[in-house]
Amino acid sequence: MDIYALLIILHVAGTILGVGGSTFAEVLSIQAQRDGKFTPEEGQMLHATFKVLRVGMILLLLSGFGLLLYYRIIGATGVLLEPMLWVKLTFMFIIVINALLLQAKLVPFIVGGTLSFVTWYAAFIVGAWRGFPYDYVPTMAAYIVSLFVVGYILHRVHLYFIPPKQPAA
Amino acid sequence: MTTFVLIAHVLVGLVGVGASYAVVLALLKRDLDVRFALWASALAFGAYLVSYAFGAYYYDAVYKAGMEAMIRASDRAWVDLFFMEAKGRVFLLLPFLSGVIAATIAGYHASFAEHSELKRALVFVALATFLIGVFVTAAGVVVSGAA
Repeated sequence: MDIYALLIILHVAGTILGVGGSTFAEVLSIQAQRDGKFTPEEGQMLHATFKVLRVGMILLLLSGFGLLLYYRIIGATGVLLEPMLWVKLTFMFIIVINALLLQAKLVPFIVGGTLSFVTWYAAFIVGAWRGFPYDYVPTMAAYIVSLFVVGYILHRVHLYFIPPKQPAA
Repeated sequence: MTTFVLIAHVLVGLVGVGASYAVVLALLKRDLDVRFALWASALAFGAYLVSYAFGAYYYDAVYKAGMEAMIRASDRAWVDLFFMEAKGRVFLLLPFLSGVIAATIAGYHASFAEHSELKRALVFVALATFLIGVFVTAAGVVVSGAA
């Protein structure tokens, strides 16, 4: 197996873990809150899911920069200024900063969770779409619109499945 | 030889940025894991120094030896005029900042609970270090793209 194939496999594995992890983080958080209380077991499941997400993020970053280095070494430097690459780098930056904001509790879980969910799927779609034809600005505009659309849908899902909190007696 | 130096410059630099990120995460936790934060900040400090040394060699042996003139003569002269010039200078901040962070954690971690403003200030310094690292990395990709 050559180095390029290895980097692609790691890149795909990182994406799978990230997309799967962000999906399960949403599903598990909704399921955990359905009965109105958060048990230690549910907390452990979410904790494990975040670990998977973190591994996916690290794999994606390492293999991504490995690929950039590979392109530089073989002289395919044109790739490094393509809009698609900068869209993906922006998505990774958002994922990394979002993880910091969640850790610092500077954003509510539903906002951070939605951002993570949408950004991982956006990175996956742009990466899987061979010959992605769109420029940086329209892609980021579509991403921002989808953030609001998916955010609204997830909000409705939360309202449907999670009972409202009872005021303290 | 120069290919190895380029790989080492990039990979060791990424280790530094990753370690800076770990320092921010560690400092944001309610209960600071002093040992982890200290090791991560020391790793960032060492990695930035080593990456800078490899980068300096590559700059002298490859970039100055022809790549710079080629980029300046192309329609991407702005890459050298802004990104390479900024990257070379801003990079120097990274070992200094990460060294200050490591020294502060080593010397003052016991007083973080009493002086929360010190820990908060350190979080901002660590975040600035990480963001400068991200900028230098992105600038490196732009410069490579123009080469």
